[in-house]
Amino acid sequence: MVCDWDHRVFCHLLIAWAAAQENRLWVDKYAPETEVDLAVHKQKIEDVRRWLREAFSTQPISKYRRLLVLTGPSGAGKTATLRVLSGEMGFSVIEWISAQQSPLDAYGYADENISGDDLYESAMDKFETFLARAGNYRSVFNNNPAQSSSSDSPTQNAVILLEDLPNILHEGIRQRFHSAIHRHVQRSTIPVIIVVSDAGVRGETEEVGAGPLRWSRNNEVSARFNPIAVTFLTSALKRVRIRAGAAVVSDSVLTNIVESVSGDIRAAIMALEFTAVRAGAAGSQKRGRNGPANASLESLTRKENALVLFHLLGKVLYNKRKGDPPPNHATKREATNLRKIDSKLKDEPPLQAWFNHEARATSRVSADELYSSTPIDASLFSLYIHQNYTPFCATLEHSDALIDNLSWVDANGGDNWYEQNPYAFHLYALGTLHALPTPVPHVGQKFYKPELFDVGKRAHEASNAIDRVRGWLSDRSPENASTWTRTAVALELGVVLRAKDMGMQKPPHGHGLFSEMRFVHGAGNAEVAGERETGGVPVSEEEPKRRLDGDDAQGTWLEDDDIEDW
Amino acid sequence: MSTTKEKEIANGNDVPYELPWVEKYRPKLLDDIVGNSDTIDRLKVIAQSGNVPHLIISGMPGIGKTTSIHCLAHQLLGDAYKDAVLELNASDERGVDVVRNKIKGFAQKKVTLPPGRHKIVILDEADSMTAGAQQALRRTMEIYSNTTRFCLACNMSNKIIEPIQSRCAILRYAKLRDEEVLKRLLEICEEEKVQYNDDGLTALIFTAEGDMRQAINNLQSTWSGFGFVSGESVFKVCDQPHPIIIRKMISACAKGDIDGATASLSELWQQGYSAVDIVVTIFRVVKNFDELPEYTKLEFIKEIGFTHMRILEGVGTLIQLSGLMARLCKMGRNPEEFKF
Ligand SMILES: Nc1ncnc2c1ncn2[C@@H]1O[C@H](COP(=O)(O)OP(=O)(O)O)[C@@H](O)[C@H]1O
Ligand SMILES: [Mg+2]
Repeated sequence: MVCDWDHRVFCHLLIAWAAAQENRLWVDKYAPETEVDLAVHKQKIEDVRRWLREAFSTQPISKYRRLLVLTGPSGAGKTATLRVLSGEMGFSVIEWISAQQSPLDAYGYADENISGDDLYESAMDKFETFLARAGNYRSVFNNNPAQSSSSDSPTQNAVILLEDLPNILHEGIRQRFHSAIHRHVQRSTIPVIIVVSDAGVRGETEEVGAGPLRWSRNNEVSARFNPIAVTFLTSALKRVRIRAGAAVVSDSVLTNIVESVSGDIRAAIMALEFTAVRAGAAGSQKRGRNGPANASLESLTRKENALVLFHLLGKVLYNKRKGDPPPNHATKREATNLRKIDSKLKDEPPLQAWFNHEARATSRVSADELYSSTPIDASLFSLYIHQNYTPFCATLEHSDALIDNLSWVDANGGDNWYEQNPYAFHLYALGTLHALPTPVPHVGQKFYKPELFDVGKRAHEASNAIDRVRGWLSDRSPENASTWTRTAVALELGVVLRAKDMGMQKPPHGHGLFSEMRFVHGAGNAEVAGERETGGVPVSEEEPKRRLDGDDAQGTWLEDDDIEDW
Repeated sequence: MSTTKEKEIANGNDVPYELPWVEKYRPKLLDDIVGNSDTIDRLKVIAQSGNVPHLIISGMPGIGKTTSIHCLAHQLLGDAYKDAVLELNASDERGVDVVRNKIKGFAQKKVTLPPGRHKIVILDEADSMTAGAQQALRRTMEIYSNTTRFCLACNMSNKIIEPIQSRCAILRYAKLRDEEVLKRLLEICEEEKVQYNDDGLTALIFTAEGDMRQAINNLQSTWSGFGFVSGESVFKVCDQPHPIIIRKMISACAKGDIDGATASLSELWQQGYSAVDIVVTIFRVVKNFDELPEYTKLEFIKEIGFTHMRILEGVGTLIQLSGLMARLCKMGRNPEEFKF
């Protein structure tokens, strides 16, 4: 009887488990298990593998293998790489998950009466307890110290994975977090791996500590993952398609997915899964098979912001107007279409004689329609225009008029609006259109990501470096600490710090950010807004034309021609 | 469908409380949602298959984002909706951990669901969450995705960090077209036996600017306040100057006719409209006014924005607005006239 009962429980468990498997998203269900399935560059995997091997070794270098920071865009395979290596090398992954042991009442809800601060404090307490406990992991399983440090029993190795980080934007939490990590690195041999994903189009890598400098006193190593290359992505998707039995998704649809996700494999598999649903359902709805599946794709997979931003910039910067000749490569049909569109556009009302030089043909772009159809805020819009306008101007006058308009809007909006200047978007769009030549000369323009983001990031890092130097100074001579204000450190200490670098007592790493002023050329540093922002996004609504530079998803961008027919 | 009781309510005069029409006519099924038909079709397929991905719906206010998510959840979950949906407004950063805890508790809660369905967490106005709060949600979404799926609504999708976008299917709603708003308004007028004229409907559409919620609210207020929906009464209810007067005023400005412009202005001023009301309506008219060439439009909007700012700084006087009229009119006159 007992046996029977056990058996029943077992069956229940099995059914529950099977159901849970069914309910999983494909990204989880078909997660890679071996290196073969892992769509990450071999070299990157090898880098991480070597780091881990060194960390688990008994060699002196293991002391410098306590903290690894994996950065990169989302869906680049950071966590997956770690999981695969854990299977391959046989170490366990201890992951910190926030809100794990939180005070929950009988219904599973947190006590509402706990204030935010208390909750933070208690969350940090828990984090510290977690780290302390995880730091002793080895000894829990093995009391023999001689054996615990030997590497011939690999199953006993473990790493601590921090991905669901405590809320580090909160200054107090950040400090506690950093010292907790620091303490851990000092006393435990269990390596910590922190995974940080880029935040997005704005390029503000979050405050969490992606910049290596933030961790520098811990000898951390950081590895940056790139967006996944097209070839890798394609074969990974094909494997998932087979495993999931999703033959309804045709090769061309699959290619479409690959092209529209900018190297984000998670987004690609999500798209595959829901395209399969769509394609299946479309069959039963007696609709054309490929048609709807293709249509659904576009909006399920596109990197929303990137695409919208790109369309927006293209529309404004190419400044198409009524009567513009069709592009060279346009087919007859496209040319006729353009004429049809133009014939529906009203002619501009006449402008007074004294404004003669300001007269323009009717724009094919309506600023108001752009405004209501783009979910992009005006400030981001203006940053992108600012970064990209010059190649679209033919003369200095064009540039002058354009930049004059941008700065007019900035100077006359700004702080006086409580929320957002409701005129800004229209003014940026109209003013830019009006300032540009018509037609805009086509010289293979590319779009760049605003440099402002990087500059801001560097400023932030430099400012952190100042704080570290101040801390270092006051550690060494507490009595003089107060004379070294942030300004004084930044402006007066440079030479000394650089000289010290050659001596014995090195100042904190990273002071070069403010103690050394290097001259840099501006625009040369801007990143082609390729991979992430735009990554091979099909631009024309009717007929996607795109250009890929080699297989490696490096520098995919939109050429002027792509925008032509759009 | 409408009982006598409801008809009484519709007439409104002596009934103290009536259900807001935006609630009463909130679509219950995806089929009832107006506009964005391609996108809604996709949601229907998802509803049919049962397997809802994490979703982001973005677009301007009042176009049915929240409603769509509710409809989808209802269609997926049926009677289980009550227990299987958690709605959150996760707007402030300090609340992140509270939110995280709530989600965790909810995700672990045992709920009997139709097979293949998931619990749903609805995060409305998700773009008002700070980047930090969003970071905090990222992993949570992943950890519980077996049992729980997330539906986010937001105005600006570029305020949603990429790691979250990467985990979601993204649907973008366009602003509702005038015909679409009109269609819905007509349905409600029919149902509520509202009396109206074309001018009234046009006014509702003009004032709502593609925001269905506002259009319906204004319809209800006008009907219950005036018992008839005319252009006049709509603009009164919305406390907005009549765009016809504004249009006259702007035409005058474009021709450099300062007398005409100030006459219209005084008319509005005497009717008691505030400087902000007037300047906002001027902008609404100008941005789509096809009598103005591009350059004039651009320069006019600059002046209007500038004046608006002055008004917000506290100087909302008739002189302020007259100054605007003068500056606009000056552009309509030959510069030679100003040389002495
Ligand atoms: N597309 C639509 N079709 C029908 N009614 C709508 C639509 N959009 C909005 N409404 C009406 O407006 C109200 C508010 O819509 P809501 O979904 O909350 O808008 P959002 O979330 O986009 O701001 C709904 O209750 C409904 O009455
Ligand atoms: Mg809403």
